[in-house]
Amino acid sequence: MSIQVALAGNPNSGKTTLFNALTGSNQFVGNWPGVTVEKKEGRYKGDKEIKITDLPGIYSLSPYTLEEVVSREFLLKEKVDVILNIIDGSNLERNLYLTTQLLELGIPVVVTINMLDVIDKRGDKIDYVKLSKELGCPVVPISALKNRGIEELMETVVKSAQCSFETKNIYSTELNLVLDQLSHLLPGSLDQHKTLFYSVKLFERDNKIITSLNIKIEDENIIQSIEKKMDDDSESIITDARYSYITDLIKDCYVKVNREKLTSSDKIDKIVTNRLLALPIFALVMFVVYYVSVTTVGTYVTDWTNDVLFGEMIPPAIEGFLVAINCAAWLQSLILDGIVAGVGAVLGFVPQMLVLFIFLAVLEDCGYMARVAFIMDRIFRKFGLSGKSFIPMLIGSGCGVPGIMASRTIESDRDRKMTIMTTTFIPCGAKLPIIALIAGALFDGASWVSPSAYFLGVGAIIVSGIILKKTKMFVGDPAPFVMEMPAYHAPRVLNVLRSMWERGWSFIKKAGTVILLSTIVIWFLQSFGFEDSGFVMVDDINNSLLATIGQTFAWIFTPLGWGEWKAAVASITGLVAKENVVATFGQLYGFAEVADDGVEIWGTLAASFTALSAYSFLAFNLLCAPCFAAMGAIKREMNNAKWTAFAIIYQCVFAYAVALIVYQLGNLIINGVFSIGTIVAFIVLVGMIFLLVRKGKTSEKLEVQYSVH
Amino acid sequence: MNLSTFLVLCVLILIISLCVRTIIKDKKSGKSSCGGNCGGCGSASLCHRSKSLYDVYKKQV
Repeated sequence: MSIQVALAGNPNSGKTTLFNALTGSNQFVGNWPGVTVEKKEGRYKGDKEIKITDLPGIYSLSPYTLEEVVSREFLLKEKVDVILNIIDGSNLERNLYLTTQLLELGIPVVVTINMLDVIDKRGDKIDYVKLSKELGCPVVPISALKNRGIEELMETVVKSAQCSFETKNIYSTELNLVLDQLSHLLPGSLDQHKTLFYSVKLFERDNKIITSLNIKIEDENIIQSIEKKMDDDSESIITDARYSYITDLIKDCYVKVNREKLTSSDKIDKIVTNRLLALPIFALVMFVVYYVSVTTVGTYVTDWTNDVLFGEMIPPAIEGFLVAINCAAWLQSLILDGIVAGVGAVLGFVPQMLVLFIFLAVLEDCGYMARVAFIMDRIFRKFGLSGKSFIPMLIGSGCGVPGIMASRTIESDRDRKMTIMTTTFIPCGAKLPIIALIAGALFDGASWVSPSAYFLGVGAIIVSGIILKKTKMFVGDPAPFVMEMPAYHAPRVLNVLRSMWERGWSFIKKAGTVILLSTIVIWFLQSFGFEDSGFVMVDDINNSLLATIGQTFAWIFTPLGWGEWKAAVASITGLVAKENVVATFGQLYGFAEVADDGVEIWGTLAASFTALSAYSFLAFNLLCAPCFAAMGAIKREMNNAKWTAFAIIYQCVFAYAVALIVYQLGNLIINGVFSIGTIVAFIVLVGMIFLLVRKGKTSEKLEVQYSVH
Repeated sequence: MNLSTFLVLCVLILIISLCVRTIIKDKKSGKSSCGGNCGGCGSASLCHRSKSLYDVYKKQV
């Protein structure tokens, strides 16, 4: 018999872990709420007839968030045989709030209490039999993480699907009279089992439900009279009724020991989220992450990869082979100066990226990243932004595309648009090779360079947030940000390695596809051009087509200190994929020559830049328009050509302004050079300060709408 | 063009064709946006709009 099971529960209650345990699938489990933004489907590995749908985490069936709307739609519209309600046993009271609503849907419910190990460890006692009797549905304790109780749970689910089910009514007689009156307004075609749910929604004046049923509450007196009597609005009356029921239920079924004792997570949070210490700790953590990834551990392996593997081993071996078989010189050049130089330069940074990805995965899995959004909310809120905007930015530190996608969960249209515009300021994994190359080549691996790139991104987000929030387009109060802090736990090795591998593999795959094709195009453009004898393979790279193209727009970057065509070309090729910046440098500065004459890419690159112009180059490339894939994501999420163009132009202009200030004012301070560029940079800086401190437009009513494309 | 050059060129063309094929295949399966494996991504379903619950919701608003 085919059974459709819907897995529903609060965010971070372990739904995805249970889903993986039930289906044997490999879905990524994140230790922050909102990992599952959409439903996921799979089949129970013990019986393929049982189809399981993992719904996004929700706190209620009220349409407050997009996740709640989509989960409710699924439960109401799809043919669900059993709702498997997963409850975080360490947080029973709040989790049961959703349970009381699920029990009204007229669908058999099986409650499973997860985190059995945590409850046992705390010494708390839950009377499962009594709880089951009171709720009127089976209650099964499990530990999804340790795979305990899963089989018993699924046996119960199968039994429940075959039995009849009665909705649980928890309301007082007085309230039931009103609900009964409202139930007469419901269309006769409605499933009788769902009457209680719909009556409650009518009582709460749930607009979405009322519209979907196409009915009108003619006599508001039915609701108003009880509101007046209880001196509260209808929604609060229902909420209060639910919590009163839960309080009584818990009193009978749950014994909590050491009520006053702080958990380990609470103790850590007292320090980590402390009002004064939170930011310095965050800064220190990110400093260590980038310092270790780029400058220490990652560098040892990267140096070997660059100098030995792609320096002394692979290029000479390939060259030796091609010479031995008497391969044509142009094809040798294409393979060595083009593909090996370009792809090799990018792959050389894989070890550093893997170290960074391990760190990011550890921070996420242990629960720290969720705190970062909370910590940033404090700062963001002062500037009219919500900490919810920082979650896409955290995701964006791996890749900007899912970061931009994650902005969908932001209800406020204005905040969402602004988050989309600023998410890619955070350096993604693909930008790490640029950071590492500049840090290594121009700053001799100075410890501050790579962390400063991250903080430059955070700073750009804050500054942009303040500036944009003061404009008419984005003015408004910040949306409320409520997020449950997941408990800290030791990072799971498998989860961390899986996350690192997924991200690392996508990088390697991109190097072998998009970057490889780009290097061939770049090689063609840098090898051919017009000389005295016409269109030929050029001897001097400055006569190449690439040089001609580069020189046409290199002047734009002259005020930034890197007006040479090679740097300009590298920035433009970075739009295909950010790794291309490094691949292009590898080709133009002769990566493949390393083994022959000992001149490394870092040495030749360093000769073309000063420390200031290099940092200006870094700042521009970190903040300017992202790669085409991310621009596509911006277009999809904005769903509007004008907004997309505005976002990309804003990013480029902002990046240009920052790079100009860095180079021109840096040149004045360090070298005492004063020019027209310095005056322009001053004007830009003053303009930015003015935009930051000026009084913003008056706040309008917060517009909340969902992003649906 | 000598035989060895021709053979090396053939291998290179094969590699390029495989690259293009992979890019097109990934794009069709919705993987191309970030190059990652959707099976391991918490937000993967956001990229696969045809299966999306958002579409269900969209029809109602």
